[in-house]
Amino acid sequence: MSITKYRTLKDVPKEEFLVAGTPLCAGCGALLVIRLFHKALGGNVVWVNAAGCVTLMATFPYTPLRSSWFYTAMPSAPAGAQGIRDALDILIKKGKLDPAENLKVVVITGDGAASDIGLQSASGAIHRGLDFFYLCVDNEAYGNTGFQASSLSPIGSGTATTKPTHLYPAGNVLPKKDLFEIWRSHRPPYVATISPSHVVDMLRKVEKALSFKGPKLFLALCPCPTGWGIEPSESVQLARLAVETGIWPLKEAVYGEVTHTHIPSKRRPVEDYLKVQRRFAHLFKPIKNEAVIAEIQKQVDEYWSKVER
Amino acid sequence: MRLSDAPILERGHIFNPSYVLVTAPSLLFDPTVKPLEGMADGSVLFVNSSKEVQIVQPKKVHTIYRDITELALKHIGRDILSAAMGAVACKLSGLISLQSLVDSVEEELAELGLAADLIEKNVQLAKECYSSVESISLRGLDYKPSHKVVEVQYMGERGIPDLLSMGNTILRKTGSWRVFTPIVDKNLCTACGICYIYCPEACISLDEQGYPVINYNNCKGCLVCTVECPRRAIKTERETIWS
Ligand SMILES: Cc1ncc(C[n+]2csc(CCOP(=O)(O)OP(=O)(O)O)c2C)c(N)n1
Ligand code: SF4
Ligand code: SF4
Ligand code: SF4
Ligand SMILES: [Mg+2]
Repeated sequence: MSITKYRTLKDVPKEEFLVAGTPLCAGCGALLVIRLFHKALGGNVVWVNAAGCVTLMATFPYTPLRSSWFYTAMPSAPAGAQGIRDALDILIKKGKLDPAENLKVVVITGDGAASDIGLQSASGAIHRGLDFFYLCVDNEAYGNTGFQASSLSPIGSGTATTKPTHLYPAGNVLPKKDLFEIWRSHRPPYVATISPSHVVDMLRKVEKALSFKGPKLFLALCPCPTGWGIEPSESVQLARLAVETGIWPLKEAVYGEVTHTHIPSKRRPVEDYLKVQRRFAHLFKPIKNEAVIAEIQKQVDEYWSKVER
Repeated sequence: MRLSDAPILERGHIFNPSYVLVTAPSLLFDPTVKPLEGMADGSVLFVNSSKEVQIVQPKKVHTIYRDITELALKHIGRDILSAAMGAVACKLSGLISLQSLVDSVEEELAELGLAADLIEKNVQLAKECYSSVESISLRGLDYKPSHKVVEVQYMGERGIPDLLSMGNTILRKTGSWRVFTPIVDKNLCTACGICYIYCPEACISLDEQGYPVINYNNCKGCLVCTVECPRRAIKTERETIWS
């Protein structure tokens, strides 16, 4: 790891760019990620947001942000980012904007926008080498509209559209798209996964990304008390469990070259993570669905068997 | 919700409600919610609150308050209010019998896949809420909703937020969401700052010695800080400031 100013939790910057009083649920993992991410980015930021829970942060006439905010249609946040980036560049070039007032353009969307309707727009922006950040706050479903399945919902999860039934006792049967790999396949300067439980890891990654020009993409696991069926107080614990079970690998890819930034020395069984969430409750009650739990464990084991230590 | 003996053809927003039920008293003064807007003389206002609510009443409305959060905690052990608020509405209207209420709580919660014991707890909660208020029937009242454009008027004396001030959500007192309040025990706290880092709401700041200070105006009571504190130095108490 190159020289970093983030060594311990004591190094977390004290300045707040996201203040209290948003309408997001108590214990929202996405809110915590945005707050911490913003600390590492600094204040000169314009967020470009596609419809999702996060949109409700800044509902007229209120905003929790001490930075700028631009709201786009759900499929087109990266296209909106292109427009803003171009406008800022042109204004600076023409001498109409002091370069000191330049802003970092940061797309923020949920997993639904990122993996479904907004995937083409993101792909286009990465392909064009747009100088921007993309933060996907992944609560593994369409949270804002009532927790319907997205293509980042994991196998076995119950959502409003993948309720466990006698035909589909496991709930969601489709695999989670590998958005990290989809992004990485474009070979952008920087792609990373982050978790609100591993704060120093997160800040170091943002710090590293800041040194690159071009697309810098972050996929953050964001526990959602409302949709996952956990207590608000448990949300950071759940993010930590996802890392410790190996379900959520912490990694980065610089120009496509992957490094794992945290390799759990002894992985906890996935069951520890699954059994505490209502969205997986049908895997345990009324009868335990050993096959599905074993399948989830197998996929995690296979993933890590390929990771070099 | 609209109730009528005749077929209901009207759709869309209800601008002139006869009954307004408010789950938390702080909402009364929130300019983006404005629950009192459009209430006519003689209409009924219910507020979930343990204290009498002081409102500058624009109209002569019947105001009733009860602490149904306390009842929910007693019966369910959590602040889940849907059955409780539904029960209060049924009773206030004077139109829905206790049996119909119980039947629909059972039916709707079963549809959501709730376990039988939890449904039963909700039924008990609904029953107690039902008996805790009197009916204020508006039946027979000559009640004609107006269809005029509704005047937009900000309630309370706080005025509108300044649009140009960044970070103005701080004006929204999300502290009223709390059911349990986090309280730092300075004797156990080592000023490690971990609670400050993990508070999703930026509601914890650190004083000069590094000890956490909680902003109770906005703290939602998620209790992430309580769980994350390695010293277990953050206790919880049943909320009293806002309830
Ligand atoms: C084109 C379009 N389709 C549907 C919607 C409705 N909509 C608003 S938010 C939302 C859910 C977004 O889910 P996700 O991107 O995962 O964000 P989350 O709410 O989970 O944070 C949907 C479907 C919309 N705004 N625009
Ligand atoms: S539904 Fe989930 S993601 Fe959305 S605000 Fe609530 S906790 Fe956050
Ligand atoms: S986490 Fe606990 S010990 Fe550390 S500062 Fe907060 S209250 Fe004190
Ligand atoms: S209860 Fe939640 S919102 Fe309140 S101070 Fe603790 S972490 Fe922050
Ligand atoms: Mg989502």
